[in-house]
Amino acid sequence: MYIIIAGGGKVGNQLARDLITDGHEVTVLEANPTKARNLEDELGAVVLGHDASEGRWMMEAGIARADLVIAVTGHDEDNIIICQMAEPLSQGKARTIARVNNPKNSDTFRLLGIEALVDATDLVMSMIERDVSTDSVVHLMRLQSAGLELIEVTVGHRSSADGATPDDLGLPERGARICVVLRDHKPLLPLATARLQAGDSVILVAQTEDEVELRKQFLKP
Amino acid sequence: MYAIVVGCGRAGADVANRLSAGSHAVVVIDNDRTAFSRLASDFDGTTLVGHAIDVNCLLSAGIEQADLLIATTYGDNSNLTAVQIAKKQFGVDRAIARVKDPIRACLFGDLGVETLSSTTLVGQAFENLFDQTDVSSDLGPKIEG
Repeated sequence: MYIIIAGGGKVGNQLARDLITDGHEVTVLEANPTKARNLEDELGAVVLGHDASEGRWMMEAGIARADLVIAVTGHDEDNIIICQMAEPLSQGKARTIARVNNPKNSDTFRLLGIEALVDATDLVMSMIERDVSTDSVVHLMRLQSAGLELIEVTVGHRSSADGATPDDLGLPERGARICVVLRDHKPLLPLATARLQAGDSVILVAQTEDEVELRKQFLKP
Repeated sequence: MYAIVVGCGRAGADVANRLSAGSHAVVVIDNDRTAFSRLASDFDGTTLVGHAIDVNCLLSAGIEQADLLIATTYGDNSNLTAVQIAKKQFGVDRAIARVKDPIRACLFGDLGVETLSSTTLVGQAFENLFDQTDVSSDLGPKIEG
């Protein structure tokens, strides 16, 4: 895919790195010249030192052939306008994802037709968990309106989950459900009677407020 | 008429002063309190410290009753966002954004957002001056004199 990232701050930088590693073609637009130069030193010649919300630089960046535009600047009004402009500039081909800096503004994003939103607070949380945390709980997605989360967690050695069935762990009572278990990179059907074992990667849907308790069950010896 | 002017820079203050002098009810919003010093001494409207795209701030400014919103901040994106909120969320009759980037002005014009591109206006004004004047013969002597 060809992906344009608007905003080369910490989030844009990390995204660009990950997407390049995954084999995507990436251009980062960063208006601050010093930041843009530093970014170029790190990432190579994929940085344009210009304002992404200025039409001519979006065209220079190749918006006409972009598959995805990710707006992650620190200003909500910029992210809104960048996403709105991406649509006509790409003849409706590019999908857009926007970062919400101030949760108060998320209704405005939706009002103006931008549906794919990432709340910065959430994003930072998941980045911290993925990159820093040793206990390997990853928020795959927050199903906010329903108060649910899709969580990936690795079963810890001698944790309560090690050797237990979903029933043993009391998951059904709490409305949590295992979607899939990955053992040695192979998916297993999540039978109610199947016993989990240490090292299993479990993807489950759970209520947001149960996360802390689940973390203990799956991770702590 | 009830008008909200967002941004009290030179252009915002000018339009607010004009509206006020024309006996319209005017509320001016700016996130910098000192900007209001640009308003004329006989300015008769109200001032409000706040941010252009903050819906609560627009509500405090009485956007539900407003007939007109003019967004004149230095940020094109703030102006375009404020104007769209005014139109789509509050059904304000007329909402006009000052937009410096001509491409952005054109794109949002196509989307039905009313914009005024100061860059294009100034460019056109200069072009008109040029067309009316024989630069080599007329301007030269005046500069020397």
